[in-house]
Amino acid sequence: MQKHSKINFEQILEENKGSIYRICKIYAVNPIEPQDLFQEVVYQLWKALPTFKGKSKINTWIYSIALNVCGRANTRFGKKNSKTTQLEAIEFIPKADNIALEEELKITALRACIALLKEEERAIVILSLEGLKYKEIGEITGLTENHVAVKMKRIKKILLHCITQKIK
Amino acid sequence: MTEQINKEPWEELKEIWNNSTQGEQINIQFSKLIEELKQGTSQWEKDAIKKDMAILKPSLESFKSKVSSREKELINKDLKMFNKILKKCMRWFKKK
Repeated sequence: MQKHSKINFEQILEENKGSIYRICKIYAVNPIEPQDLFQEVVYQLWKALPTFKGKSKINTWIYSIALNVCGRANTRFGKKNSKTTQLEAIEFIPKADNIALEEELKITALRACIALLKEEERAIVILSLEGLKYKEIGEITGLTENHVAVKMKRIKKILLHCITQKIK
Repeated sequence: MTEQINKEPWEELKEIWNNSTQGEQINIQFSKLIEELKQGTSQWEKDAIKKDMAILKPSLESFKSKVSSREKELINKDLKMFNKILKKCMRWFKKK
């Protein structure tokens, strides 16, 4: 823990908090709230930061931790009496200018469709939506670049079909 | 939406995705956060340790009771022999 650089941690968290929260929103299933997952990811990032060797990009490393923590959330925190880390320093404030209903519907549909995918497909599509290249997705998921490309082709079809059905 | 999806389907999904946390703002008080993180072991970890200890303790007790007196005697015998050899070695080294 001694090796933590406060500035670096602040910077990487500030820059990536949106991405982390988007991932948490996908994996949070009742009774786990996305806010709880977010706090757990922050805690795990803090713990793992001294082990970051800089071999991969920092955001690739963050995505792999976020997916790992969120992916195991149900087994870890889904049971009674199991609690996630509570950090009072993190506040989630609803914005006054609410999203338009139509936009909200699209977001809900997209989340619901991603949630229907298999675990590996879900991770791939999340990383792709976050703008990662197939090579980077491969580094996180352990697949080859070509394998990711093949899977993405299939996932896109499924996702587009699902979301079109939900919104029409 | 269906038509839009046909035009730029994947790009539109990306846009929806990127806007999906628009409704909330995440405020982080970093100095307080660092303090909290330095203090904390996650509740899950604490629970997991407690759970593991609860499993380990009775197993250890049952293991202890399963060691027969013959095994204990054999271990004692081995230890005595080991001590004897060690003492001999020490004496030999002192003479040298």
